[in-house]
Amino acid sequence: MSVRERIAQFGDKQRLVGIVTEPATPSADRPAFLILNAGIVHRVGPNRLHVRLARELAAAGFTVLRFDLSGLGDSAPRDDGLPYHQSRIGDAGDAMDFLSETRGIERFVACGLCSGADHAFRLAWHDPRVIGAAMIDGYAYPSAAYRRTQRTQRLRQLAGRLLHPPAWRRIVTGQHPAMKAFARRLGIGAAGVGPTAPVERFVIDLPPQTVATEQTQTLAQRGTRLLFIYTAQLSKMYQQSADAPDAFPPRGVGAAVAVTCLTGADHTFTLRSHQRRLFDALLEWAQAQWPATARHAAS
Amino acid sequence: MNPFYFGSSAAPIFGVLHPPHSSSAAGGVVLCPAVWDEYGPSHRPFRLLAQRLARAGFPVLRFDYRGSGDSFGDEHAASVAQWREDIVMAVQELKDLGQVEQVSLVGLRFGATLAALVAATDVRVRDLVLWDPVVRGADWLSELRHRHADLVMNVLRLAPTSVQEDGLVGFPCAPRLDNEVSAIDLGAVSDLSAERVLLLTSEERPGYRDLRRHLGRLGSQVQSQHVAVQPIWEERALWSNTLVPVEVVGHIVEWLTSP
Repeated sequence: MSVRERIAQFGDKQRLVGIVTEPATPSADRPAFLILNAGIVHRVGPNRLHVRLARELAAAGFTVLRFDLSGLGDSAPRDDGLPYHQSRIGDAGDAMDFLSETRGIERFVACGLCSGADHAFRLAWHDPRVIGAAMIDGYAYPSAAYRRTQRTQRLRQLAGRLLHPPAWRRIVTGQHPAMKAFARRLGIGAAGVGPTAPVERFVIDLPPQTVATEQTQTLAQRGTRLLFIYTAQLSKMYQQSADAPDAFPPRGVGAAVAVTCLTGADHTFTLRSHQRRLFDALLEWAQAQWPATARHAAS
Repeated sequence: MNPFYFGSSAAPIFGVLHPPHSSSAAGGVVLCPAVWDEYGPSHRPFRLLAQRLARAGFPVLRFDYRGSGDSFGDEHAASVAQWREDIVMAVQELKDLGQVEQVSLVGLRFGATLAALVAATDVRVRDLVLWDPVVRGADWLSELRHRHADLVMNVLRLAPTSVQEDGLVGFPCAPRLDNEVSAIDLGAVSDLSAERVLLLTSEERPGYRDLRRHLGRLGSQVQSQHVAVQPIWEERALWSNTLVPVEVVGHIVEWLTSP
């Protein structure tokens, strides 16, 4: 199916900028995807992920709007002083209004990576037009059993190192990773590449697990479709917590909530093969939730 | 700020025109972004630079090369020739839209390298700003390969065979493009149409000293400026306070507006 793209400017004073990607014969019967910024990366996404994802979804028959939230990318900041999360929900509301007015679409799926996943969840919670959310490396919580296992492993590792003379030698000579990290904090030596390169770090405005759990359960009861996708570190944590009583996403919420672990992928999907796995997972989920009608499939 | 598409209907190029706030400046400015994983971090500084230049009276055009950013085009078909064509098209577009006869180029990283190549042979430009240019394509590719291999083997802990199979730092790099980039050496550029050249560096790299000397021999008026800030195209800049190097942006605006 061929795909077309158009620039979109919308919201108060046309301050928000995005790109609508849609099939050659779009349909208002299927929900449109809103792809939200990942952190401060503009609407193209890390490693151009959002462009490729939007084109994949459009080729499968979905209309997609990937846009910059206010103050990010090419979108102007808001001038109404709204608090952070409310402003994000307001921006997304403007995006939905725009697609409703220009394309007659009334149902939406919010999609995002990292902080974009946080916004997607909050948007699903606050706006009933959002009937689905696909969240990549969004909310994740270790179970108590997982935390215990991690603590035990760390203690074993520490004990092993203390009894290992070469480790002491590396500490004394400054070659131990901990010493290198300490040196970097002091501004001594280069960050460089190689085994001591910094591991992935990312931050998200994580609500208390009880709140996320209750909201997930309520959304599932409403019929909102939720997809949690986890990459390397979070996928390990999820897999080792999934059977615990305090697992997140909570157990027993039915088919409305799905989890996909893309083990081995990094947070920004640098490898093309990992991008492919992400697209396949999202497409499979979207097609299963909102299948094409015979009319769409023929177009 | 006006986002729009230009170029061929087969593969339109995404651009953003920043109209001048006044008509006080001579000519317009085209901003040539970095490519691949260095493109993303250049968006925010380029937006600020465009806004400041527009305030100083320049019409400014930002754009994405075909197959990159918001532009159309097959990213697997990227080539140095195509990237250069895109800059030439952007220059012509700005001349038409901004109603200016003279255009200056500001390029970042490999965008600076492409801008220099364009100014050497493709179009006549007024001023040329090379912001942390890639001097030798082969050296740069080697750095990218090292970064890619480090991610694959040390962070993701995948088999070394995966290094060869999975693009380069998130983007496809066909052997033909690899060869084209490898062959580039700014030290071999024999002519520059620009009246003035600013070589702006935020970190000292091998090759910059020789490049300064070489540019000085080409007949343009060359100024070299070092502003020590965190290189913005590196991922670690995301975790620092250097998202927008305002000193660098300010220096470029000041230099372009100076007589």
